[in-house]
Amino acid sequence: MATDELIDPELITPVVPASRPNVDAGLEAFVVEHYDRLLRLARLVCHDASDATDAVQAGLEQAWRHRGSLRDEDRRSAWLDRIVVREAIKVSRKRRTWLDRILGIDHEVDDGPHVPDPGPELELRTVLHSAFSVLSPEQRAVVALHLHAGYTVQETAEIVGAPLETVRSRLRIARDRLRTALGETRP
Amino acid sequence: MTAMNDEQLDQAILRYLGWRAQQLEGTPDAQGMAWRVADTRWTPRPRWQWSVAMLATIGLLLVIAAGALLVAGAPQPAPGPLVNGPLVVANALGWRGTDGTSGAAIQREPCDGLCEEAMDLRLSADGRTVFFVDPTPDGGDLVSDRPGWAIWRWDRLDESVRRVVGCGEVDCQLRKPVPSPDGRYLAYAQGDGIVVVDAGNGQEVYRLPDLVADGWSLPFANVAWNADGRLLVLDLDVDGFSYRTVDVSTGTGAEFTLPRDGLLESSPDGATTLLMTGEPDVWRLWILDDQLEHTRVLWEGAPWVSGVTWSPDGTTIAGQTMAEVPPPRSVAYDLQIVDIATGTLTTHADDDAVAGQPLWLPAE
Repeated sequence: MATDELIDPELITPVVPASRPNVDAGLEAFVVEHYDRLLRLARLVCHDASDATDAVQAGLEQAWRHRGSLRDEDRRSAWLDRIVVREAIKVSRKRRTWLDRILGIDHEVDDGPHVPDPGPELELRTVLHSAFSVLSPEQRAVVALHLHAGYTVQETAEIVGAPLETVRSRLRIARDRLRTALGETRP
Repeated sequence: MTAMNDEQLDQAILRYLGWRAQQLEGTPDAQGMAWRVADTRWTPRPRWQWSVAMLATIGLLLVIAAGALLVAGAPQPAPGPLVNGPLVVANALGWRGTDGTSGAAIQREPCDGLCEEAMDLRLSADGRTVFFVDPTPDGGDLVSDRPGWAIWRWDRLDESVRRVVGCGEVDCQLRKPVPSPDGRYLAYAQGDGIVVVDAGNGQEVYRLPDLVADGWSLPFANVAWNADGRLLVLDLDVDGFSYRTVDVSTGTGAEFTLPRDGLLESSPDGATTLLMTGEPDVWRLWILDDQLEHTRVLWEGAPWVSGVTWSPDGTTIAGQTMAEVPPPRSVAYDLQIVDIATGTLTTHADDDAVAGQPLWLPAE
């Protein structure tokens, strides 16, 4: 009996699918060009890297399907950021129901700084991580877009689809909370 | 507090954001993501598959439409009464409160921009919408906020929050939004007068100016709704006070008499109306009968420092009182819950000594 006949082909589980989908070269270039930036942006909004990946995937799917609707190529990055940030907010909000918010239940995954990195920077990071984690997804989104990605408040409002006043309020509340957290931990 | 200035704070936040954005363990690389995006249900399908899917969808829609027509033709059950849910207090520290009945504490919840500065929270009769005032909606920038006022509606079904009406001036104070029992209108106090707008789009439909003459200490005009959809307003003239009902569609009204002036508080459906009167140290709640005549004192005690919130089932009210207490706490804020039928009072001490705005939500 030949060796090959002893092996049931169905018992062999491929590590990756036997046949990868035929990825359109345009899609691959599109993803490669924007993926890192979008993943980092989503990571600032989402509870963990897994949620961020889901948000980016969903956002890229939408963007690829509707890429023909974008008329101004100069706004492609902002357009993508808007789609992905909204997906990230949606993913994060799914983790918290209204009752959770009333009852103060937070599903934040503790992925805080666990790599030894002694010094004041670690303390600062730990405190900010704790304070940042209890911000709402909407607040994290405006902080990420305005302070990290460098969008103006007006652009941030357009991206998250909220009134300018709301974005300003979210930013101010977020900064106050982060400032308070830092102040409370220092003499 | 630390001496960290705004620039140092921003630098610290930026460093943290830069670190957090690098926490990407377990994420695929760009090629992997491209593969994931390509290998989804949105990958273009052969044309015949789309045709089958489209036919199936059309068939399903036809079945749903037929079902909807059958349901629409059948008698609709009347909506059931709302069931009381959590009673919360919103202040600068976030949400906190009780379950409203047993007094079991509900843990504090930092709010996400909704309750941080919210005032005069008011639930609609159907329990689906909360109207509230935000005193700084038109804040300028992160350093120096310009004060302003706006009334917002929070639709609880989709959790959206949008502005109904606003004013960016310091002296344009908007207070006490009260939705009409049928949900069509929203009345609110603007300075010395009352404005009625469409609750959906904020279009003004009626205005009653100059209801608080000089010499009265009331900070803003007072308004409530009757069960028949008429406004109940207090007119503080230089010569005295009067009460009247107003039909906002015609502008016509009639006076009704109360022996003393005070704030009117009607239940969301307008079925019950209270009069709140206040001496410097003792406030009283009077219950009004169907003829809008006050019949009995329901409650008396320390001044209320918050608005009144009604339980969703209309049987109970709650509000926050303030009283002086011995040191180290010089002031105590308590949540008072008053049963409308019996006057039974339940008091929940608030250990935070922070004034807040109560809101009684329906059960989910």
